[in-house]
Amino acid sequence: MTGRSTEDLVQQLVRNLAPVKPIARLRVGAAAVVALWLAAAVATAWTSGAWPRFGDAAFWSDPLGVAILFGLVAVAVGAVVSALADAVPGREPLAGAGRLVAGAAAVWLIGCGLWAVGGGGRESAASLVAASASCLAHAVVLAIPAALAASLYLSRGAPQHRLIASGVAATGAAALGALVVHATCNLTGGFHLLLGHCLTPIFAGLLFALPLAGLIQRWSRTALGS
Amino acid sequence: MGDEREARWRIWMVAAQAGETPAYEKLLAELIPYLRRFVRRRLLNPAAAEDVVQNILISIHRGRGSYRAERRFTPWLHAISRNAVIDQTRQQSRRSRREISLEADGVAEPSTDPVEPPSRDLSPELEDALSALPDAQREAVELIHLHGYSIAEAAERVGATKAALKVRAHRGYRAMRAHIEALQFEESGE
Repeated sequence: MTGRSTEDLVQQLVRNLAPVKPIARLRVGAAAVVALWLAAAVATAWTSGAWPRFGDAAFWSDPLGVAILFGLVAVAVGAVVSALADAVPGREPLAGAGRLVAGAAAVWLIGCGLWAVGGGGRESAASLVAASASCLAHAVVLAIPAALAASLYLSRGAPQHRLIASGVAATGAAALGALVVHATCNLTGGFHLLLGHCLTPIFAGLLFALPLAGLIQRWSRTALGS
Repeated sequence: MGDEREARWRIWMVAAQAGETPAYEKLLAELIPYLRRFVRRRLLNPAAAEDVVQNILISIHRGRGSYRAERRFTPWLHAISRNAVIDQTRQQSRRSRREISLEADGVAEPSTDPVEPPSRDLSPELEDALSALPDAQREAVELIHLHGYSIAEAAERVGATKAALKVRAHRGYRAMRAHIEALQFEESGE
């Protein structure tokens, strides 16, 4: 019923065999993502002079700010681990656990954002859009190296659903970017926190899933020598 | 026995990653009967089993870089095979839902309008896939999709039951899809 026999297919696959480099260990992939993210964060802070306020007591005294920070960390860790584990057949339980953590943290972040909107002061629409777009764009720029590293890893592996894996990778990388932005941004408006900080990973995941999936496919073909 | 086989497959897979075709050929040849048993135990529709086995072999080929020599081979193989079975089951249930919804919408009811002659402005790939089908399947696909007959009308025309005609058409679609995928696979050079 398939138009060709399985034995014919085997002959075709054997004829087209090219050497491939085995995928790196999961922890090596994760280390590459984190290293590139840190490099981008340090380079940006160095050039702009805006360093994260982790040493500032005022930053840690704002419970909402800290709650958002931990939410972003959980989304980043869960989504990056899930995306990388998706590349390796047999690591589906880890990928599922990562998605669960990232999903729960995303809900937590939305809750924090809505809480901020409920308790925040008035913000003019123009400044809200400008500031939120600026934070979002900054987070996305910071996320690019980490997203590329995760995509490269995925292209060496065999994700079951490339689009989902790339969306999760984009979400995780954007959460890493948003984490730096959140730690450097001084704005405290409720809508700004919701749109510019809390929702950034979700926006980025939806926006960049398709382009990253295309990139993964292209790199995957190159890796297979076809 | 299982450990011996595991060790053998692992060695062959590592050799295949290095581009050694004899090892790869031996590995795939040994995997075929194993995969057939694996798939038939898990699939409700045995007719689709061979398609799934072929999909698994293609996934192994494309994902051969995702195997690491220090890990066991069989869990890696099972993960790829399970994913292919899940994909097949999902496709099957989507297709069944679509057929049921077409019938519920009345699309499958006999039409009283005169039947238009077939418009065969098909792409060369589709023409090729259609002509490769066995006569009964080609007839079912042509009547429903080219001539626009309902399932009931088409069944009456060929003297078969509606269920039998649906099965023929369904097998025809699947074979056409496999044919086109094989063409694309060959064109992509893999």
